[in-house]
Amino acid sequence: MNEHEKGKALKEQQPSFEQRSGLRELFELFSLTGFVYGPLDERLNIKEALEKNLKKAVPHHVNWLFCFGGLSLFLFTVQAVTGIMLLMYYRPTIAEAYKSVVYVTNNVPFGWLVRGLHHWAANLMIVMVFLHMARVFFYGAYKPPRDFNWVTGVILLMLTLGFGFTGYLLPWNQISYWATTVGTEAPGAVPVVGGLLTTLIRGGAEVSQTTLTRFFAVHVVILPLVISFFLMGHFFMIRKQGISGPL
Amino acid sequence: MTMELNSEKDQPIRRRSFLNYFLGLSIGTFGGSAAYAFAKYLFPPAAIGAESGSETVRVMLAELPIGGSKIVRYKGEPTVVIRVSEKQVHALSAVCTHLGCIVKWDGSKRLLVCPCHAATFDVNGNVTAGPAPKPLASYHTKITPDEVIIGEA
Ligand code: HEM
Ligand code: HEM
Ligand code: FES
Repeated sequence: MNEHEKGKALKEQQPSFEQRSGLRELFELFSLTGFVYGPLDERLNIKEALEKNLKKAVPHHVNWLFCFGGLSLFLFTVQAVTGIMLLMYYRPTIAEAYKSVVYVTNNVPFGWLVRGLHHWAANLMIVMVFLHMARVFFYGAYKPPRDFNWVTGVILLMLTLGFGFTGYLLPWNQISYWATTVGTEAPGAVPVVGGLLTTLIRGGAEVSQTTLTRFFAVHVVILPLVISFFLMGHFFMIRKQGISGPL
Repeated sequence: MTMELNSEKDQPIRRRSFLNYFLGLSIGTFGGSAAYAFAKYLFPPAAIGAESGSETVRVMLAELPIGGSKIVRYKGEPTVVIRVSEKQVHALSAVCTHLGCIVKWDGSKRLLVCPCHAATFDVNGNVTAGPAPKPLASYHTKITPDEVIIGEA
C-alpha cells in the first residue's frame, strides 16, 4: 500500500466530521455540488477535469513574481463586474453623463464603492500589467517558443490602455474633456493621414457627443469582446507550453 | 509520515477539513457582504420612495456634540447636520452646488468646505467663497430633549 492508498483506507473506516454532521449533505444540496459531481459528472467527467487542473503541481522555481499575470486577470474581472454595475445607472449623453455619475456616487447605496472600485482597479490593473511584463522580460520568458505570447501580451497591454483612455472620457467632466482633446490630438502628428485619424476617433472636428458615444461603445462593448479573445489566446498558449523555466 | 497519519486519525476534525471550513467561511462572509452591497445598489433611493420628501430623519443629540457635524441621508441625498450650540442645529444638503462633491464641516473656521475646488458655505448655506453658483439647500430642524428631527419645523 502506498501512502495515498493508506489515506484512502483511513477515510473509509472512519467517518469524517463532515460525514457525521450532515453538513456535507446540506452543502451539496445548496451548492449543487451533489448534482455537478453526481449525474453531471457521470456524463461529462467533470471531477477528473477539475482535479487535473486544481492539483497541477507548481514547479519549484515559481515564486510570487509569477502572480502578476493572474493579478492582472483578477483586476480585469473586478473591472468587468463593477463596470457592468455602473452601466445600470450611467447615461452616455453630454447632458446627462456627469449627472448620472454624480447620482451614482452620492445617491445610489454603495455607488461610491462601485465607482471607487472601478476607478482604483483600473489604475492598479495598468500598474499590474506593467509589473507582469517586467517579470516576463527579466526572466527571459519572452524567448521562443513563448514569443507569440509576448506578442499577444503587447496587444493586451494596448487594449488595457485603450480601456483606460476611453473610460476616462465617460464622466464627461472638465478633466476628461481636456484629456481626450489632447489625447486625440496626438494621432494628428502622423504624416499624411494624421488629420483624418483625429477626425475618425473624435467622430468630428471636436470632442463632442459623437466622441462620447464612440468612446462609450468602444469602452463597454468592443474592447471587452476583443480583450476576451486575446486573453483566451494568451491563456491557451501558457497552458500548452507550461510556465517558463528558472533563471 | 505514517506517524502523522495515525495521529491525525484520533482527532475529531482534521486539519484539512478545518482549513476547508475556514476557507468556505471566509468566502461566504466576503461573498455575502458583496451580495448585500450589490442588492442595495440595484435599488436606488427613488425606487424605494426615499425621495418623496414627506419623511423626516431623526438624529440622536448624543451623537452630535456642540461644534460637531454628522452626514445623514435625507430625501435620498447626503445631508449635513451641524450643531452650532446647545439648542441650535442646522441641516443642509451636503452636495456642493458646483460639481456635486460632498462638503465637510470645518469646526474651527465655522464653514462648510468643499474638498474638490474649495467652495465654502456658511451655516445657512450661503456661498462665502469659491466657484459654487448657488447656496446649499437648507432644511427645517426641530430639537427635542434628546433628538434632532430634520424636515419638521
Ligand atoms: C491584460 C493583461 C495580461 C494578463 C491578464 C496576463 C496574464 C498572464 C498570466 C496569468 C500568465 C501566467 C504566468 C504569470 O502570471 O506570470 C501570463 C504569462 C505570460 N504573459 Fe501575460 N498577461 C497580460 C499581459 C501581458 C503583457 C503586456 C505581456 C508582454 C508584453 C505578456 C507576456 C506574457 C508571456 C511571454 C507569458 C509567459 C511567461 C512564462 O511562461 O513564464 N502578458 N500572462
Ligand atoms: C481593463 C479594464 C477597464 C479599465 C482600465 C477601465 C477604466 C475606466 C476608467 C478610467 C473610467 C473613468 C472612471 C471615473 O472617472 O469615474 C471608466 C468608466 C466606466 N467604465 Fe470602465 N474600465 C475597464 C473595464 C470596463 C468594463 C469591462 C465595463 C463594462 C462592460 C466598463 C464600464 C464603465 C462605465 C459604464 C464607466 C462610466 C462610469 C464612471 O465614469 O464612473 N469598464 N472605466
Ligand atoms: S464641486 Fe464643490 S467646489 Fe467644485
